[in-house]
Amino acid sequence: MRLRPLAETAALALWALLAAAGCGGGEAKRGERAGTYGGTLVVGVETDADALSPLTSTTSTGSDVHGVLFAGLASTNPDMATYSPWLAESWEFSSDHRSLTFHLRRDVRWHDGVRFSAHDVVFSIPLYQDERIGYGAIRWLDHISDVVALDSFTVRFGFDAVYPYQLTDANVGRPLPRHLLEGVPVEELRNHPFNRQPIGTGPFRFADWKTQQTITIVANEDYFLGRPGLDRVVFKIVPDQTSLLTQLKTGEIDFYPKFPPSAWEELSALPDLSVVRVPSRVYYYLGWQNAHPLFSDRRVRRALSMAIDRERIVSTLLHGCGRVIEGPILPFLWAYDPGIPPIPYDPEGAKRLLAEAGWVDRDGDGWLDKDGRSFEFTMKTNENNELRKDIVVIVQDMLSKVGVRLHPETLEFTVFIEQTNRKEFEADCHGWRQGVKVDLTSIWHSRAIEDKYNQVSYSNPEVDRLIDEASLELDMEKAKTEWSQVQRLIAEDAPYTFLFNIDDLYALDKRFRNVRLETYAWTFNLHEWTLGPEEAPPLPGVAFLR
Amino acid sequence: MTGFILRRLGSAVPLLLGIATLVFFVVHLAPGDPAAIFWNPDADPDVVRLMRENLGLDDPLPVQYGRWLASFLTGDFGYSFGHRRPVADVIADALPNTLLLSGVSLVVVFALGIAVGVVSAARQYSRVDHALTFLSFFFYSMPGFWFALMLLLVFHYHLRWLPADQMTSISHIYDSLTPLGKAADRARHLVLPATALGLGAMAAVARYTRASMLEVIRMDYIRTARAKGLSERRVILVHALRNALLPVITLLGLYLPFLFSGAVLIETIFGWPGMGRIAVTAIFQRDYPLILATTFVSALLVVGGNLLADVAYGIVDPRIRRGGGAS
Repeated sequence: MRLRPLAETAALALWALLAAAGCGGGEAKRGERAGTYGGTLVVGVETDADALSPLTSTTSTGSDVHGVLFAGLASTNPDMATYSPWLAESWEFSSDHRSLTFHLRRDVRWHDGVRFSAHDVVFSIPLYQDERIGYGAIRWLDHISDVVALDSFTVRFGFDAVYPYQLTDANVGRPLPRHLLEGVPVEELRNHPFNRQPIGTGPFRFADWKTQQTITIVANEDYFLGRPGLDRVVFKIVPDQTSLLTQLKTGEIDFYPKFPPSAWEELSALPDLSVVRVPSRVYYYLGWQNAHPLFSDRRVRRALSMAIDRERIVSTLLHGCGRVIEGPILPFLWAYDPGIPPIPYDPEGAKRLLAEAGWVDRDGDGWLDKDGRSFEFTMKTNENNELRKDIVVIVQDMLSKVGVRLHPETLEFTVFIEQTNRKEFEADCHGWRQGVKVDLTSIWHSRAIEDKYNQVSYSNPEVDRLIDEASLELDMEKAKTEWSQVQRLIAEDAPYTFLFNIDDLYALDKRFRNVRLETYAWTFNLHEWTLGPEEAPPLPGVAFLR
Repeated sequence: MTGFILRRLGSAVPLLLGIATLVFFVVHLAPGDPAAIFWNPDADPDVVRLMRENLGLDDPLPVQYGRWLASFLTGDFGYSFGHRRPVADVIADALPNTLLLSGVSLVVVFALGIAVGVVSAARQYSRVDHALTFLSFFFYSMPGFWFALMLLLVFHYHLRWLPADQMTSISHIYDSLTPLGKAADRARHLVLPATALGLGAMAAVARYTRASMLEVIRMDYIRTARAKGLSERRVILVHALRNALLPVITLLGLYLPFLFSGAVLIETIFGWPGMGRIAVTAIFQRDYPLILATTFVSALLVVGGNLLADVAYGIVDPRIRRGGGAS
């Protein structure tokens, strides 16, 4: 037993370590009380931000954060068609509709105390338009020809065209502080320290950012619309989904926006949490390369859509958290047409339609053929998206029942994007996030085949004409009729098999009140959220908000 | 010894440069577009083209290589596409975190591993030995990511003893702690990831030490030492252990890179803001400057680790120090 001291020391050291580590543990965060103001919301997100400035950020975490740090001239209402005053108290168009004048509030200060004025707006817009910076929505500002300060609190936007979304486009680039960024060479703005130390005019102020760990923002006591209800919002970066779900259960995280549908049932069963579904702005589709000989025939594309049971995909893979769609405009947009004739699930009909197009199993091998060529093709999708990979497998099975052979191919995300943009695919499983504008040009117009997002090479002259007209139509009712025709024509041509509009799923600790989660953005009324009081109703346990 | 170290350092320079060059061409020739991070339906494809142009990605590869090499040799790693700041800053943030995690892990791996191995060998075929052998194989054969999740489940979720992730509690709570409290907070956050990262390797080290000890214990000089009347403790810990450590030290050099590669998964599961996570994200985003820099840093660590092992060899084995033995 002479060796004992060594072994004992080792064991003791280990236990001491574990004990020391354990003794401070187990602090219960749930049950923390707070009055009208105060409290911390911990939001679990899977990825870090790249920048916290609206000018340069391209990540969703970045935009969640800068969306509440920076105020805009007008705020988008949840209907995504109308606006409410924000930094601007009012605005009006000139009689020829070529200039738009905003009257700004006089009581707004930047988070560092400097007064906000029209000069900040005049300074900011050219930055959003500058190609060297690469602002994502840069093309939205194409028709803004000049921005002039008429006085310190009045700013006028001049346009070189008249179209329905002038107000939206004038409002997209949120004002940046001139006093901090003036004189910085444009080339340096992308990598400027302002991206990590943002100063805005919004309801929350930036506090700190620990890379890959947390981003903390705190209440702006001087917010011009009144102090936010919460003291602090912490975005905690948790790259592992299992860990994120675990921490939601232990109360270390209060809010998990956009959790995966597979966790729906597990989280619904927890008494401390509200679990909420909100229709998202995202839809999934199967794209058929219309320029490919296999898919150039509309009957073939429609037959493939008929062979796919989309309701079953929604009920099994999405656990019901979504809805089948028939066309390219989602229900949340004003131009949505609910009356598009649906393509029914009808495998027998699909077989008949395929036979009509010449696809019959002549050699008796179980797969359709025509001119000696068997009906088989590759469907591409990306890695890191379990849902898409599962869809492709289910579709493979469904198509095999009508004699069509699908070979799945998964690619790394950047490779997939590169190949689909170059149209190097026969079929793909993909998705779009719909913007706030009704804009079908960049995906459906034949002009967009060459170098925009018309990756399936869809071309219908009538659709082109209607899109051009509707995009310039100022009369909303007339525009709506035109958009409706576009949707019906596209649905009929079936260049995609439109799959579903997926729901965003949110899990939130029930102590938080006055919460509105909107399709537009979950941060929509973050400044109004409060911890308690107990009298106010919490979000329902399990809810489907529409 | 100094000459030996200098020679090794001299040969490391072309090696590192070669690695960096190879990686440069491999990542640039691999399919995938770094500008894809700018891709989203709200963004115009023009933006993506503009960014490619701004980032110099449209130039011929040899031109890009020349430009990169020139700035690289002057110590300028460039700007990360994804993080929007100098690559040097990104690395300066992440490297100390990884070194802390791997360092603690490494100490635990070798301190505990050697201790367990020595106990096992000294008491061969005893119940203690059997128990330790069983446990060693158990931990050694367990997949790291699964073990990490089990630790999380037991110590965070069920027992609520330890925090699940990150290096400290969230900022405002951490900032309110006393200096001692801050140290304890950091220690608590280290326990699970360091254990998950090190336990498998520790088991392996224990097995190696045991085997090596058993070999040494049978040597004549051990019998001599015992015959001289030295205490058993002195025989084992001084005479036997020092000689038995030689193969274990080789392991040290081999495990350094392992700790960095293993750290990728562990860092993701425990939300540790280290090099592994940064490297993986950089690869998926095709963030060329950052990929090159992280690869270079890990190559540097591997080469350094091997050098360290060689030096340690020299300390334990005088024959190598004098340049007589195999190196």
